[in-house]
Amino acid sequence: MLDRPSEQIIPADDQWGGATDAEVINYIENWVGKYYPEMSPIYKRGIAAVQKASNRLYSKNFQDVEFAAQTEFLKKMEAGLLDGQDWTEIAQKYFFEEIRVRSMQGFYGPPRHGGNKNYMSYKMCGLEMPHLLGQNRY
Amino acid sequence: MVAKQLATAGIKCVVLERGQWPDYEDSPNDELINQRTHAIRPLHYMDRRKFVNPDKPWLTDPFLNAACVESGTVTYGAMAWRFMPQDFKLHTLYPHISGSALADWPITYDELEPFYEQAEYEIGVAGDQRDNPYAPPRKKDFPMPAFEYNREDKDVLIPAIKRMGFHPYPIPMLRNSVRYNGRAACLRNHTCCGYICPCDAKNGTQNTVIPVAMKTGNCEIRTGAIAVQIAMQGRLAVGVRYYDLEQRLHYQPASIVVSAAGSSGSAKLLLMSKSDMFPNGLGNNSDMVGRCVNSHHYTGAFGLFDRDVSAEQGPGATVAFSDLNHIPEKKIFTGVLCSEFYALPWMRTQIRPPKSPMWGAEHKRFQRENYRRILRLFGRCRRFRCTKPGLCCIRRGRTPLAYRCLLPRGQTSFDGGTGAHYVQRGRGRPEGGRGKTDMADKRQAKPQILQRRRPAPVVFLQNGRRS
Ligand SMILES: Cc1cc2nc3c(=O)[nH]c(=O)nc-3n(C[C@H](O)[C@H](O)[C@H](O)COP(=O)(O)OP(=O)(O)OC[C@H]3O[C@@H](n4cnc5c(N)ncnc54)[C@H](O)[C@@H]3O)c2cc1C
Ligand code: SF4
Repeated sequence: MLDRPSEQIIPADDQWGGATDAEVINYIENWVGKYYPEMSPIYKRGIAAVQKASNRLYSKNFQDVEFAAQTEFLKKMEAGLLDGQDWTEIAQKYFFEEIRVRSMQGFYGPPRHGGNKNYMSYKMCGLEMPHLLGQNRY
Repeated sequence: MVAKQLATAGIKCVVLERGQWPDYEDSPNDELINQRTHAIRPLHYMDRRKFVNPDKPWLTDPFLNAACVESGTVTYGAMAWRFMPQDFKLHTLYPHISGSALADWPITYDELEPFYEQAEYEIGVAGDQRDNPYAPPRKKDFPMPAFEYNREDKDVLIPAIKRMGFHPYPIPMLRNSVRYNGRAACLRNHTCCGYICPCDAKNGTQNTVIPVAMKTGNCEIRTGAIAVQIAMQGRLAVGVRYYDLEQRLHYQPASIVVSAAGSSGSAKLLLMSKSDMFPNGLGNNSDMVGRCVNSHHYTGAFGLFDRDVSAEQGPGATVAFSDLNHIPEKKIFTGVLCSEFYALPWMRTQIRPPKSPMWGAEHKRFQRENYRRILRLFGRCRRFRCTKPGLCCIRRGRTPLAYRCLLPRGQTSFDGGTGAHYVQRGRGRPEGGRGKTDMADKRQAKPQILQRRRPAPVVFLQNGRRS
């Protein structure tokens, strides 16, 4: 499910894919599973709250809501403006920031942790990858 | 370095290192695992969750400290600064900073100069101070010529620095600008600061003094050895107690004990070394050990241009100026301002003009278009701690290895007058943090730090971030 908010954080455009194409979700799963398993309950609580809030607003799970409405939802979540009843277990702003930071790391970080498939973001920024030893000139 | 001096003088020594030998394969250009950003973890680390604080691994050591043989120099940025003579007399020069931990050194620059020279030749520094009127006096030139400036230095930064009446010069670097000490010259690749050099052209203890010490046959490096106490007999240090990775306690007798565990690690070790003579920790009868630990603030400005300016010819940091270091009459003692090491894309995701969206399509567009259009002028500024709060000492965890760790606490008493602020105020430039935010604004922007001619940069400041 987290691939949907991730795609909002880094959406695909005409030229370059977004978080889904870069398989950012793999990165997030690795980050929690491999490096910070202690964060797993936090993610579970956060995802449950997102779904509750989404159902309250749209009567659908977040992944089934249309893109523009998802954007509005996340803007509210970022500002802490979603109905507080759904966020008793975890703070909405905190969980938004968690998704944002992890998505950025997954899209713009190195592919060895599961995201940034085929060095997509590096190519987008004009970086040759893998790095050539010596002077990288473009 | 001390081990090398002792070993070459024929004294047998053992180096206890809590970490392991560094491994290049651990982080080949990994922006999320390195010694600079530490998004997943730092590069050289011991398993802190196991050994120190199972709950909050990030709380166990001050940010970014290395834990490997050869320590911080494996991954540092390798700028080779000497103190200036004034740095030895800070209290005399800046008596107005009340409550700070400022003190004059008991030695002078002249006394230390021969040792700077020895270190620069043994480890290897490339530099040229001829254009730096503030350079501390030196008897011998640098052992290697300076690195050539990058394209953006020549095109943008140096002309701008000169227009402001300042004096740019090449940063002295502990990197091989030419073949030196039997090792290759630097390839100038993109990642350097925070990473292990793939061709061994970055100079540190790893490829200089430690191999020399080991070659004598007098120096043993013992890895996975976590020192927890200096054993004392009266006033005399007689050995060190340490744990191995299996959590077994060992004792290494010694006639000389040198604590070189970093500024926080050494303080930690001394505080843990209690004895009859030193009930509050070794050398801590005055209660000053672990207090007043110094660090530096980063300050600086990002300039956003409407064309690609960055040549990405690594490692990025090449030019500096010292005009804002030590102006006692203006109470300014900033440190040095330099061009910055390059960053890979993730580190740039946070760099936006104020009020810019931090996610979504617009954020991505900015990243795509401006990755090579941003330059950063960067300063390492002095930061003084008050005498009182200093470092606090806490005990965590239950295992014997969950020994005390130190957390920097308390307020900074005074940040050296920051260069970026001074540049702006002194020159009628915009106030900190209020740069223009988009290209349209930029066209009319009068205030510039970096360049006045068009194409003009947008300047947005990042001030007072902790290093
Ligand atoms: C990203 C980065 C860039 C930097 N760039 C520069 C630069 O350009 N120029 C510059 O001059 N400086 C730079 N520095 C700072 C420089 O690396 C450090 O100041 C320097 O390495 C400190 O050396 P040290 O020997 O005092 O401590 P450290 O390098 O921290 O070494 C201490 C060693 O002791 C070990 N240790 C600690 N406690 C124990 C214990 N209880 N038992 C056994 N072993 C222990 C640690 O594992 C470590 O290996 C940079 C630092 C970082 C992180
Ligand atoms: S720029 Fe690259 S090759 Fe040069 S010293 Fe740094 S890591 Fe080594």
